[in-house]
Amino acid sequence: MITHLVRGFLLACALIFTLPATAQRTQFCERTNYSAQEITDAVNASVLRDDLKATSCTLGGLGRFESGGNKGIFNGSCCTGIFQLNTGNVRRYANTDREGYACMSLQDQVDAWARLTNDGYNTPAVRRLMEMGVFDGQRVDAGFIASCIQLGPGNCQQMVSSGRCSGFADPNGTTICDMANAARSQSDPNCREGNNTQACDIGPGDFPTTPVAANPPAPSPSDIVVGPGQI
Amino acid sequence: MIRLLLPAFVLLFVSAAGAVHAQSDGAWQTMTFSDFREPSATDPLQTVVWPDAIKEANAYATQELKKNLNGKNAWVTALAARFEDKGRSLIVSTVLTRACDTGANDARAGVERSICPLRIVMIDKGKAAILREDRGCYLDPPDTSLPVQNRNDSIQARFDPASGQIQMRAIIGGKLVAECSRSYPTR
Repeated sequence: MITHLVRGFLLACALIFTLPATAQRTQFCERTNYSAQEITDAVNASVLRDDLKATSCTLGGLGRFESGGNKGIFNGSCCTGIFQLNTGNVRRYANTDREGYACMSLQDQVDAWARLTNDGYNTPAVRRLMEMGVFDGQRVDAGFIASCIQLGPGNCQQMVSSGRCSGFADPNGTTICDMANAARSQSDPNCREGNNTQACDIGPGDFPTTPVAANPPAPSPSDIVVGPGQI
Repeated sequence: MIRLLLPAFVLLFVSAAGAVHAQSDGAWQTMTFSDFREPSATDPLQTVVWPDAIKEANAYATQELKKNLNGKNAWVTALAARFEDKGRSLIVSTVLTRACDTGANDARAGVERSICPLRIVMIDKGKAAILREDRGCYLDPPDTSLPVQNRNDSIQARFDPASGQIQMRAIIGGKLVAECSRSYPTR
């Protein structure tokens, strides 16, 4: 437990001190300090795919890693909110600007992030990771998939193509594997996953049962058409 | 090559549009930014180049995001440049849609390019045709909230009359972005 807290503290320090050198962070609306569990609860109430919700504790940790639970923070260069969506994604998935996004509710922010993540789920990089199950010694769980999408499908593809975690690192040296580990370590140790109200019994961020690749594809649209008068 | 014939009066729209001005002397020009939220019947970017992208974004905003657009368009933005070549006009444009790869979402990330749908439209004798569909770089124009080194960031384009190629490049933080330096044939 102490080790877990120390790791979380060190990661939070890293978050603060590795921001782009001259970026001026801006606080929009109120400063918040949502806990990993509160973020997890918002994820579970969002439109995120059910198979990723199965390890939503990791995603609460990811929100803490990205913003420290502060939904009103703009990092000064690209990214805003609880999951630090970039400005392009704020426009595409919330139809607003960074200030409008920062002032949205936690749930609305998480919904926008969930739509982005659902779209990213179908990219070649994610599909390949799902097929692999394990990448460079790391289990491909939902936290890993979310980190891949978080750092960008193109960047993730670069990592996948290299076959190594080190195949892509951001300018500060953070890899997708680092981010997945950070998300796990910042999860609430007593986290409640998805639709399950029981405490995690296998540890935060662990993917509980089946690999993501084992999940069935989304159902096809029905070819049975029922008119209003036929009900 | 994908071709799409469009109404003959499109040339009038192009000449009326101040946002996309022609330049064909081979010099790099910063691509012009357009915001499509205000619907326009005369902006060739809305009527000729990206009508389908706007329609798709409007549908997503109303049906998925449950937004009331109140007669406006969803927030779609584009970059464009226009060139003249032997009596024809060429418009090159990239558009920020859900089809883009917008880079990292991360507190430690800086300004990054998006890689987005690109179209080159030719307007010749009053008829418009999509010459090419591809991918190209997109970047919002810089604002004062960005770090000093990013305040001159831009996506640039130029036309080489000899080869008929449109070239694009991106400058972010004073450096060329390798993956954005591309050439697109138009002949």
